[in-house]
Amino acid sequence: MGNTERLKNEEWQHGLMNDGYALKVERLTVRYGDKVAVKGLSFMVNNGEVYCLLGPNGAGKTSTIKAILGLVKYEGLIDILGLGQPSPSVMNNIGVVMETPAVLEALTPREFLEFLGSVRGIFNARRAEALIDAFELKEYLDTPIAALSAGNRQKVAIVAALLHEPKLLLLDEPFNFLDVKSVRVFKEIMQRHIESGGSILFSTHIMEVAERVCNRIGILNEGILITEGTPSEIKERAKAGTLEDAFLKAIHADEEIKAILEGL
Amino acid sequence: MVNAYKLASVLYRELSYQGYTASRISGLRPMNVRRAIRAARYSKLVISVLMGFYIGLMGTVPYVLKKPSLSLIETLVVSFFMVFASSINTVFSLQNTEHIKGLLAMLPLEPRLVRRTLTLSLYMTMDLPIYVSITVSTVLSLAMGGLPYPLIGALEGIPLGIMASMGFVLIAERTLKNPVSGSVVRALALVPIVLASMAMGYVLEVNPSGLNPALSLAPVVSGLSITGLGTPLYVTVMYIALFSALAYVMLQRASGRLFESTVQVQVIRVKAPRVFRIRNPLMALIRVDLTQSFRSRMAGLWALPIGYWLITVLTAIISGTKLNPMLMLTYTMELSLLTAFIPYALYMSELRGAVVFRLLPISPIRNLISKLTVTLIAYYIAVAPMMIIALFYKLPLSLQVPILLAFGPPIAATAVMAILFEASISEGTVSSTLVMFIYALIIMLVEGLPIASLFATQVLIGGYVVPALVMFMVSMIEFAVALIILIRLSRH
Repeated sequence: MGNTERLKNEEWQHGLMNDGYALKVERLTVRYGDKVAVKGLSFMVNNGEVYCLLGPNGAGKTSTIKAILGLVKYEGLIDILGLGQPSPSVMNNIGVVMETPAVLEALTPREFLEFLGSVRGIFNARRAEALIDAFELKEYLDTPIAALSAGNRQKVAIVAALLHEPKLLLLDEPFNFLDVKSVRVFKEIMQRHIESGGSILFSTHIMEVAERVCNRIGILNEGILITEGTPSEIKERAKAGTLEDAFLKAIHADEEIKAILEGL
Repeated sequence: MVNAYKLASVLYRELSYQGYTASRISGLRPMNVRRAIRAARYSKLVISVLMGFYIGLMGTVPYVLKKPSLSLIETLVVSFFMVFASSINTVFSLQNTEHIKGLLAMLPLEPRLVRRTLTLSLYMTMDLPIYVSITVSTVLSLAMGGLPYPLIGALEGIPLGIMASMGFVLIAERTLKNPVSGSVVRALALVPIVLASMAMGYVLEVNPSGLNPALSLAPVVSGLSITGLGTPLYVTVMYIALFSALAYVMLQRASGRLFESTVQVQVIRVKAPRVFRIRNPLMALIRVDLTQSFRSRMAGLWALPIGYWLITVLTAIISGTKLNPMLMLTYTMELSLLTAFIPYALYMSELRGAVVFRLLPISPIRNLISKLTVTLIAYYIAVAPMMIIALFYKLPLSLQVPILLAFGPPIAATAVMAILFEASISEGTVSSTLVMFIYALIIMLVEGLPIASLFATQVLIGGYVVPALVMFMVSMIEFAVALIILIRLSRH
């Protein structure tokens, strides 16, 4: 076991001892000028669970993920794996898939993955090849990422996020641009990640996906967490048959939709 | 009745948004669309005003030097630069915009109206620099007592700028099928900007009265012979009309091509399978820095220091200029200044992928070390021929000291650039065109201080060793201060 790998495991053990959470967010506020995108948000992602941030467009899901990654200025507390706030040393323990694929477009997928492996000091060639095969990227390995389709760019971003076997995955609408087969493969990988003790913070606005893959859900609206619980708890609380109905009730959009439909 | 101008105004807002998003530092879509469009307009306004000031300045210098006709070339070059630089960024970013033509195709509009709308909206991306250029050069002509040179320069430079940028668009459209040649064409787009910048300095060396009379009929040069109503004036007006017509045709063709070619061709280059190569983190960073900068529009900046000695020193030797130590010292300092654009190119090409760098365990210091290594290598590759030439011409051996130590200013500039880069990716909302412009100015200031201290010491006490040491110390102080700020910044 290399030094980097040993250090990584020790860091992870420290995170496990820390109340068993992978991510803790307290009183998070994100502002863009006068606009407050996230208002005093608090939630926790436990070890071995998929926590889903669910909300309409502009609810603050992406801003929350950007704050966790230190990509935007924020107020409040963020603790990642018990290692503290986002910093270069924490990054080796996180895998990220952004809404827009975060890749270096001038490079080829091969160059990009080699770069990530070199800088992180973690590279398992067998895993890299397995992921490349799983997402059918082999024939594009030496094509500049800029010339790839949106779907293939997203696949490169996903492989990049999974390559170093991170303990925590932050996924912001990760199924964007993916074909049905790749979505299924990715869902299976997520499941295995959880079974091996990893955690996932998952952001989406697709109810069906949230209900299927998430252990707990936090519903965000206008930057505020309005309800939180397992999918069945949320449905029960809202006295709704489906998560979609519960969600619409939670954000008070059910009556609005009725009125719209009557007007058509 | 649908008005092409109104339609183009709406489309222009979309183009501004797309252009702004494409040039955005973080590479992420802006949260506030209105603010994004406002920022794009503000950026265009600031650059136009700054360039307008520059036209005024460069157009006045020949008048002060009693060579008023040369202000034609100066305003031509600056106007060309303004129009070309302001449009090329936007149009290249639009090559990835797939939906605009499709959007217009869904509306019940005449194809002719669609074509006019597209041309007009593309023109709007460069309208302000054109208006500023014409206004400033007209004011300059009036201030010179009615001498037409600045105005003629602007009227020729503007269509030439449009032709050059649209020419690049048309070539780039053909090369889109191949990502590598596409990148090369984009990188080459920097060449007219570099050549225009260099030409501004050399223009003043021209003696207009010593020109061959046959040249009074040649494009651009014909304007220098204007002394009143006569053949040179008529020929010049004819050239202005010809350039304008060609610019219009190219604008129309490029806009059609730009918005029509919505299908991105995906090229697959299958190579023999090979294993992944994992490197030392610093080496990997240096490799990615080099790859990214060579494949970006910044690639042309590499040509500056490397090609500099070819242009200046060899030109001087060929033209029979005696290479004296002072001239060599000036060449070295100019080379040092140009080398500072290497880290500038490295950091700027990194801005598009800034999010990726934020998600990796790369500290700003490690990133800086990578840039410093590349800058040092580039400096010594560029300066080695100068050292050999100095030895060959038996210039004083002490002259080798400033040549050896002039890496100091680019090193200081690299550290300052690291601070600006960190500040930018934290901010993440500034249009990169404006940022690039401001950064270039700051880098020149940081470089200028040690170089000025060298020349000041040279004038005061003479020699080459002590002035070189003073320059080196000043640049190291700049470097140390920048490093402290960078360390503090990275702790936050």
